[in-house]
Amino acid sequence: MTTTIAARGEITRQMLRGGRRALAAWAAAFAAMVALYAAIWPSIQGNSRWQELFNTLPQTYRAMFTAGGQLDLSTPAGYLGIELMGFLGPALIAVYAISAGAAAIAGEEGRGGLEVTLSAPVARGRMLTERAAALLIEMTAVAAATGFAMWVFSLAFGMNLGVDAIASAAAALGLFGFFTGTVALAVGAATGSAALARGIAALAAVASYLINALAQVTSALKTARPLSPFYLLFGNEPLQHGLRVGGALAVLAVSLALVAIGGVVFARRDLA
Amino acid sequence: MTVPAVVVWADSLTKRYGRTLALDRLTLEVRAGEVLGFLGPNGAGKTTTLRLLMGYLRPTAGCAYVHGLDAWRDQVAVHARTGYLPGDVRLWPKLTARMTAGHLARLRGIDHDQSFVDVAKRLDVDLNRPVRELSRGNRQKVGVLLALLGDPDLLLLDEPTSGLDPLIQQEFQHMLRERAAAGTAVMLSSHVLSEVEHIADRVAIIRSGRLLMAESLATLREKARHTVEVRFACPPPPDAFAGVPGIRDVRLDGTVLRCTMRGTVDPLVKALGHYTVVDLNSREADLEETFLALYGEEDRS
Repeated sequence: MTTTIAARGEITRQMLRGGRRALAAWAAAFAAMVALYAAIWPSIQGNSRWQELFNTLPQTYRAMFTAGGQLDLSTPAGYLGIELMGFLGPALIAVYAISAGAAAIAGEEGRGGLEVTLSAPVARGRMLTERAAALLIEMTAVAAATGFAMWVFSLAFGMNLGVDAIASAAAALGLFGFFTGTVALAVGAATGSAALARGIAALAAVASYLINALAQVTSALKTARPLSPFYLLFGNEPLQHGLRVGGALAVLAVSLALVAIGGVVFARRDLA
Repeated sequence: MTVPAVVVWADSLTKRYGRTLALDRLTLEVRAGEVLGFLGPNGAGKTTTLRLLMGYLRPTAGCAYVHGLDAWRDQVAVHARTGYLPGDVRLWPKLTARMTAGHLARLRGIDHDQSFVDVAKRLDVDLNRPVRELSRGNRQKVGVLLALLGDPDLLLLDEPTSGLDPLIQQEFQHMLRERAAAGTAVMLSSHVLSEVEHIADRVAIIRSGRLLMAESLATLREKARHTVEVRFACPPPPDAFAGVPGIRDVRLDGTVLRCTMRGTVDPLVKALGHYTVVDLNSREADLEETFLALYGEEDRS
């Protein structure tokens, strides 16, 4: 017997209301980060010493700093790509997404707050799905804020970034956030432990980054590289060469599968 | 006269955590219009039972039916007709009671619920302050308000009166009686008999996961002991009260008599008539003492 009384999207709206301050802060932080790096561009432009210095570094080291192993500081897209998409942007959005994802089910469950919401006629799977939707919206909003900031500051500092390049980079960022966030959400929903959810999601984020970096220098990891969401999203240097749609869809599919699996386990386990 | 419908039906309901048996073959029913006081010391399995009925926990063995639906498998349908108050009410700290109730009402498919405003008035709930600014008792009232949303056919309340001041407690008990009179089945847990004695029709007593008894309050009260202390003007003779029916543990120290009475204190009061009584103090044994007295021996094996 199924009963669907509740207004569709009510849990998503509730989640977004609860997280709107955090969302605003993170969006502002990303925009500020873009502004900062864009403001430095005029002093980097035409200065080849950084490039020369980078070229003298061992390949392992270079691999750690660039998603695709190439550094091109001569163009705005290359410069912003390395600064924003090489490490800092993905790392920061992962922090936001993981904290939000772990809090959504396991965090609230640990606080004892889930019992009240679940006393309403809402299936657990639906609660998870609606909270995953809230996460997706939050990640989209941060990505959009980042993209908008890139567009504005690209104009302001004469960087001439293309709108499609900006959209690609923003989409890669948002999807990486959604992936790491859904790992946290799914592990949290499956286990009820927010600490475990954060730990495993952080591990997934770091592993996906390291696999991509080390695959560039060790042949042993080459076959594993296409399994890394970091590689699938950032390996093509989206700000310079655009987003690989297949890779992006694969990451999205994995994220949605995680939500589905998390939902099945969540519906079958005891609440803590 | 028709017999009221069975709303809650637990049959050999068992919950085991690893090697710990939290609930051991509980069989229990609650009918429409009935208020069942679910009593037991902390850790006895009261919360486990209520959470099993809500489908938050999956039974290890046995089954629980609510409104004729399987509490675990059909939990969504059960929730549509059930109000629940957790033992530890945790809400969203930044939301006001009004926002919280609005959210829950929308989840229940109630668009314009004015009933919660009436309940808020009766319980004196501040609807407009963020929950984090409320005292424990006031948060508890918000929890009660949420449980009553949409006038459910069954109320599962885990220690509902804890933290409520006496006046509100009374008002809350009135409300429960009104709902019960209108056919709502109520199951409320407590660790003290005095909290439920005025509203419960029946009490079920549970200890260490096992149901010790489920009886009407009148029957239970007959079995409860009273600790009596009497101060006399002059010391009575040593064996003055030895023959009083139901008297136990008599200690006479000069002008002070201490004893326990099983059932009513009436025989003792009659016997006191021959003496000048300065002060009389009778206290009904709390539930734990009643258990120990009634069931301690057989359970000690």
